[in-house]
Amino acid sequence: MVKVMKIKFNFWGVFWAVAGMLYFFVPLYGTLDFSLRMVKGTISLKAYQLVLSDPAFLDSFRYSAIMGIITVLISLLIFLPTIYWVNLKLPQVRPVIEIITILPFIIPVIVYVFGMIRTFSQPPLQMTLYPFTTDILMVVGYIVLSMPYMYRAIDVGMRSIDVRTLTEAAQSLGSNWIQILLNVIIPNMRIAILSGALITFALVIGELILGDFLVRPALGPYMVEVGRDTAYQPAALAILSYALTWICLGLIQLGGRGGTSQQITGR
Amino acid sequence: MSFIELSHIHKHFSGAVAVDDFNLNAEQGEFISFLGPSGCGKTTTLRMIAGFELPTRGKVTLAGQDMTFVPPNKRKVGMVFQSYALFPNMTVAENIGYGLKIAGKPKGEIKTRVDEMLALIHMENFLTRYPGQLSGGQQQRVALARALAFRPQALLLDEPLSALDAKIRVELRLEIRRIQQQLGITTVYVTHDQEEALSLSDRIVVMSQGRVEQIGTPYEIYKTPATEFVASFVGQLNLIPIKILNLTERQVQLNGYTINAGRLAEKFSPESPCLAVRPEEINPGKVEGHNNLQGIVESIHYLGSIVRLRVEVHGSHFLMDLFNDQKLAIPRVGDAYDFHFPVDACWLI
Amino acid sequence: MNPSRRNPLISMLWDWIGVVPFFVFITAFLIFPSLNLFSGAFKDANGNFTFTNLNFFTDSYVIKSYITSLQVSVITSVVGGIFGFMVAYAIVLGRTPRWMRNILTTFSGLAANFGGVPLAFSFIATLGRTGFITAILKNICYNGADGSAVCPFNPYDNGFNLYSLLGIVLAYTYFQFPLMVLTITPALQGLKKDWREASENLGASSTYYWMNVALPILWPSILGAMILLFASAFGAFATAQALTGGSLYLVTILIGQQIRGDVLNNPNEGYALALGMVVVMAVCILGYTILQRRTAKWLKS
Repeated sequence: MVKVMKIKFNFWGVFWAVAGMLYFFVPLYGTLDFSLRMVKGTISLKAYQLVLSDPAFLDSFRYSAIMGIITVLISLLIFLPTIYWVNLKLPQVRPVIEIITILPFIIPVIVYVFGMIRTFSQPPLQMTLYPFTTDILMVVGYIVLSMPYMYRAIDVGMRSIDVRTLTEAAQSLGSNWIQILLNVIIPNMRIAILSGALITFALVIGELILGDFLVRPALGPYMVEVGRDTAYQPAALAILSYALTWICLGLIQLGGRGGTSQQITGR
Repeated sequence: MSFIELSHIHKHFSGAVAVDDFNLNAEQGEFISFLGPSGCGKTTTLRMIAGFELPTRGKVTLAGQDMTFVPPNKRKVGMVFQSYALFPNMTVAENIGYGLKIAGKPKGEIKTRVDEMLALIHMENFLTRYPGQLSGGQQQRVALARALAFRPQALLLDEPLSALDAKIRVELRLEIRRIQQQLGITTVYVTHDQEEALSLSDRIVVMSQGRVEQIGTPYEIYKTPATEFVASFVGQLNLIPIKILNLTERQVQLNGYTINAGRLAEKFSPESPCLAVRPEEINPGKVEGHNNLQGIVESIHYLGSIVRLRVEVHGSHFLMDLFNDQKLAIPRVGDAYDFHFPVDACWLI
Repeated sequence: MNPSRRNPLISMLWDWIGVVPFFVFITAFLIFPSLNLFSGAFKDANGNFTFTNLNFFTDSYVIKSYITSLQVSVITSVVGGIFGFMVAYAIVLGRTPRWMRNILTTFSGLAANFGGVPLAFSFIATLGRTGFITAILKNICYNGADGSAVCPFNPYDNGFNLYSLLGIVLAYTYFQFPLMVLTITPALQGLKKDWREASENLGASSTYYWMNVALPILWPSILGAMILLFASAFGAFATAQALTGGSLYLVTILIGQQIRGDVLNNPNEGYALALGMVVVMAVCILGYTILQRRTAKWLKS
C-alpha cells in the first residue's frame, strides 16, 4: 500500500492552533462587540466617550501614569548602579540578588500588601495616615513588584555589553564613576532600559491590589468601581487597557529585546 | 540487478536546486561514499534513500522494490546520524533493542541480539549505561549497533565521525569498515573528508552543487579525475596556467620550459588551459625523459611524514610533497631548486 | 584619586558601596514587612509567641478557601497545561501555516499578561448574562412542537454561572495556557529532530515515538511548567475579585478580606494564612527549579 508520506500541514497541529486562536480572540472580540453596543440597536462609541470624558477616569489614569513614571525613574536609580556594580566588581553577590528578585514571585502580591500595611500603618511608621506618605508606599510597592522584570531587563542589557572593558577604557581616559555611568554605560543600554521601563509602566497601570488596599485613586480601583456600577463602560475600559498593554509590549518588541515571555500584570 | 538504485533523482527546495539528476546503481554489499563539500547535496540524497526527504523527481529502488513514496519507518534501512541521536532516556541496551521491540520480537530474542551487537562493537560492559555517560566515540558505536540490530537491508551513515577527535575518527572508521565487511551489508557513507572516503569505499560518488562529478573507485577518482573539481577536491593538485604549443602532441610552454603532458582531461577548456600534476609526483633533481624545471624555493612546510615545498618558477608556483626520510636533502628558502615529474603524471585540463 | 589604592579595607568597602542602596531598599521594604507579617503568625493578641494561630486549619472558612483555591489551581494548571502544550506543539512541531504560528506566538506573549480586572470584564462581556456568546447562544431558536420559539441553548437556563468556580476557571485559563505555551516552547524546541528521525528509521510510528521517547524526555519540563501554572493560579487575586466581587472563597480573597478587617476573629490567623500561602508558593518555585535542572540535562539545545 503506497500512501503519500507528507501532507503540507499536520491536521492535529492546525486543529490545536485554531483552538488556541479561538480562545484568544473570542473573548477579545466579545469584549469589543459588547463595548460598541451601548446605544441600543447600533454600533457606537458611546461607552468609550463616557469613559474618556469621565473626570474620575482621567484622574485615575493620570495618577497611575505619574506613579508609573516615578516608579520607573526611582527603580532605574536604584537598579542601574547596583547591577553595574555587580557586573563589574561583585559577581559573587549575583546569586543572592537573583534569589531576592525571585521573592516577589514567591510572596504573592496580596500577601506583600498585607505585610506592607501591617508594618506601615501602625506607629511609629504610620505612613498610611497621609496621602503623600501613602503614595510613597505605593511607589515602593510598585518598585518591589516590578523588580524581577526591571532587574532582568537591565541585567541582560548589561551582560550584552562588555561592561568591564568599557569601564576600563573610560577610566584610562580619566572619567569618574558617575561620568562612566552616565556617558558610557547608560547610552549603550537604551534598549534594555526602555524594555524594563515599558514593562514596569504596563505593570503599574494594570495593578489593582496596591491601589485598592492602600485606598489611592489608581486606575485599577477605578475600574473595579466602574465595573460595579455600569454595564458597558467596563468592556470599553478593558479594550483600552488591552490596547495600552499592547502598545507597551509592542514597543518593546520593536526595540528588539523580548521581555514578553513572562507574566507581569497583576492577576 | 543492483541493490540500491537511484534513478534521475532531482530535489528542489522552493526554487533552489539541491540535487540535480543523481544516478547510482549500488551492488549488494558495496561500500559507497558520497564525497563533497558542504551544501553539495550528499546529505539530501542520503535522506532521500532513508525516506526523510521526497525527491521532486526520480525513483528510489531498494532490493528491486520501488521505495520512492514509502514512509521512512517502513523502509528497513538503518541510519546513523551525525549527532548520534541516541535516546537519552534509554539505556544502551534499550537503544539498541528499539527497532526489534517495535518489530514485536520476543524479549529473549531481543536480548540475544543486543548482546550480539554489543560484542560486535566491543562494548559488552555498557549494557546499562545511559548515553549521557558515554564518550562521543562510544555513542557513535552504540548508534551503529542500533542501526544494525534490526537487520536492515542497507546501512546509511551521515558524516558519523565529523564530531570526533582525529585519532578516534581513524580508529572508528576502520571499525565501521570491518563490521560492514563482516556483515556484507550495502552501505552508503556521506562525508566531506576525502581521506575517509578514499580509505573506506569500494566506490566514491564525488558531488558538487547538487551534481555528480564522478563515480569511480578510489584509485580512479584519485588517478584519473574526470573534472577539475574532482581533481582539486580530492588530494592536492597543482593547477598551473600554461600556453599551448602543440595540442595533438600535448606539448605546452611554461615560462620558457617545454612540458609534455600525458593526456587531455575529458573537460579540457581551451580558453584557459592548465597543467595538472600531483605534488607527490614531483621529485628533486633532473631525470632524462621527464619534464625538468628549475625554480626558487619559496617556502617549506613540515607536515610530519611529508615535507611540502613551494617552488616558484617565473611566477608560477609548484607544490611538491617529499617523504621526510633519512635521505631527504631539505633545501633552504631562496635556493635554486631542480625538480622533475614524469610525462604520464601530468595532464592538461 | 581612588582611595582604594591606599587601604585594602577601604577598597573592600568601596566595592560594596554600589549595592548598598539596593540592599537597604530591599531590607526596609521587602524583607522587613514580610518578616513582620510572618512573625505575626506566631504571635497571639497580646504579642506572645504561640503556635495556636496555626490551628486556623480547623476554621471552616479557611478550609473551604484552601480547597477552592486548590481546586481552581489544579484544574487550571491541568487544563491550561494540556491546552497550552497542544498549542505549543502546534507552533513548534505541528507544521501549521506560518501566519498561524506567528499569531499564536505573539498572542501568547500578550495574553499571558492579560489578567486582573480587564480580563474579568472581558469574560463578563463575553459570557455574562448579556454577554456576546450568551446572546448568540440564546438566539439559536427553532420552532417547537406547539409553534412557539424554543431556545434551549441559553447557558444560564442550563445552570451555567460565570460568577462561580467554573467562571474563574475559564477566565484563569485565558492566561494559563499562554503561560504554558511560553514555558514549554523552549523544551519542545530542544527535542532534537534527529531523535524523531532515528525513531522513524527504526520502524516506530509517531505514537510510539511520543510515548517512548518524546514524553519521557519532556515530562520534567511539563511537570515544572504545570507547577508554575499552579503557583500562578494560587496567588492570583485581582481576576477573581473583579469577577465575583469576593463572593468566591479563595485563599487570596480571604486574605484580602482579612486586610480589610473582617471575617476571621483573630487577626493573627490572617498572618498565619499568609504564611501558609508563601510556603505553598516557595515549595512550587523550588519544585519548578529542580525540574528545570533535570530538563536542562537532556534538552540542551
